[in-house]
Amino acid sequence: MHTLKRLMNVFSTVLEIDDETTIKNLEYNTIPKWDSVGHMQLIAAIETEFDILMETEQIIDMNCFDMACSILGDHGIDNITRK
Amino acid sequence: MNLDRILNHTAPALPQEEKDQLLFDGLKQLTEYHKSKCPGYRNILHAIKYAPEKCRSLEDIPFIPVNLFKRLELHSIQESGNIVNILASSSTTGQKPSQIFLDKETSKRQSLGLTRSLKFVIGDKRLPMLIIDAPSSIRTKPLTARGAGILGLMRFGHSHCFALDNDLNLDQEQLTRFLSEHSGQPFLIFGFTFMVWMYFLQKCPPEINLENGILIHSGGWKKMQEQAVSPSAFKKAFLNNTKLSKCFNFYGLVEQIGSIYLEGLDGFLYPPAFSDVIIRDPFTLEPLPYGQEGLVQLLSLLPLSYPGHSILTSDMGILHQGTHNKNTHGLEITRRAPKAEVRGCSDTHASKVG
Repeated sequence: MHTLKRLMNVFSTVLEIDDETTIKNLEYNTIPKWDSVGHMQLIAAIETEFDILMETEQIIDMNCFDMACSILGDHGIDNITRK
Repeated sequence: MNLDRILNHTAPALPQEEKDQLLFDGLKQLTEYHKSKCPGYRNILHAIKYAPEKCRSLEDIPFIPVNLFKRLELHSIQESGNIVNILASSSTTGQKPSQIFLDKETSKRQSLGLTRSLKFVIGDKRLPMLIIDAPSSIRTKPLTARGAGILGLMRFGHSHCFALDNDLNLDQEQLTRFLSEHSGQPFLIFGFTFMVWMYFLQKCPPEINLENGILIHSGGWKKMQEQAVSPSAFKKAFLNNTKLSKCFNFYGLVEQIGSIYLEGLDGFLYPPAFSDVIIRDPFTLEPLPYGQEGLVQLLSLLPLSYPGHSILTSDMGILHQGTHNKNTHGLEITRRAPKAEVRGCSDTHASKVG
């Protein structure tokens, strides 16, 4: 499956949101599901899906969907096309 | 703001004189910043007749007692929509908790501050992490100091496992599973001192092996004193019973989350580059020299969303010249100031007090 789609699925499952546009425009700590607890769940789910281990700074930096894409890029998972 | 420069320093490496200057400049700017953004803080400065032109050294930076955060909603966030979190110091009934208002920027500064400090003991890579607490500890709203502390530390770990159940009994099954998967390599253990001692070490099966563990613990020293457990007895018990040798205490308050004072080899608590301590006479509030006990004042460059950059705590302590690096100084917390309320991370389980 396409990387972007896989990442979208992770966000969608953890944050319980189906709408892709909503997810793309979301920011950390702006909805109850994506609080600091939700954030750790999201990190764990992304790490499992892509078999990576983020750095602590990347966990702090990952404040939106685009940032998550770029962090995946840093880990060599970069066949993501963004619009 | 000098924060970036300071954060990029490795904490103990900055000579005290240079650090004093950086802190002084930054804290003076922060005082002006909060004066302009927080009416309550502005009133306090007015009442104590703060005059910037007379503020010439670190010791002249105005300070406010931590208890004020219980009585007043002190924050410097202009639009309430920008508040991302409100931390509460204590959920004990009958006491009003401190309220610490955080925005995105301050949350990030706190996280980065903590990262810089903890890298010294954890290293660069995140480790499998055993949390000596209950899963429910991070679920309360608003988040308690205990929950916020755990969540802050969780970023340094992965494959998190809570070692206690929600009734604070040792979860043998979880513990065994975690150790069978991860104990062959370095792993992180975090918990509040009293809980680690009472609900974990006292209940651990005798054959447990934590040789590869790095234990980071904090808070609760007052209750440990009541149990007559000294820091060295704490370490010794872990070494003898579990083979764990890497054991680090740290001191920090919810009013200055992110600024932690990590225990050095000499047992003293060392401030990070962006924080420092002044000891003050409890009656005259004059600064005291090394070796004398007084009230602990904490300085930190991190707080932007609330005026907590210079606070007078209710803890008593002594400042010592660094044993290994004479250029630094380390803090020894001796006791709670008489008549101070029970508060902070140490009352993670306040019903046990008294």
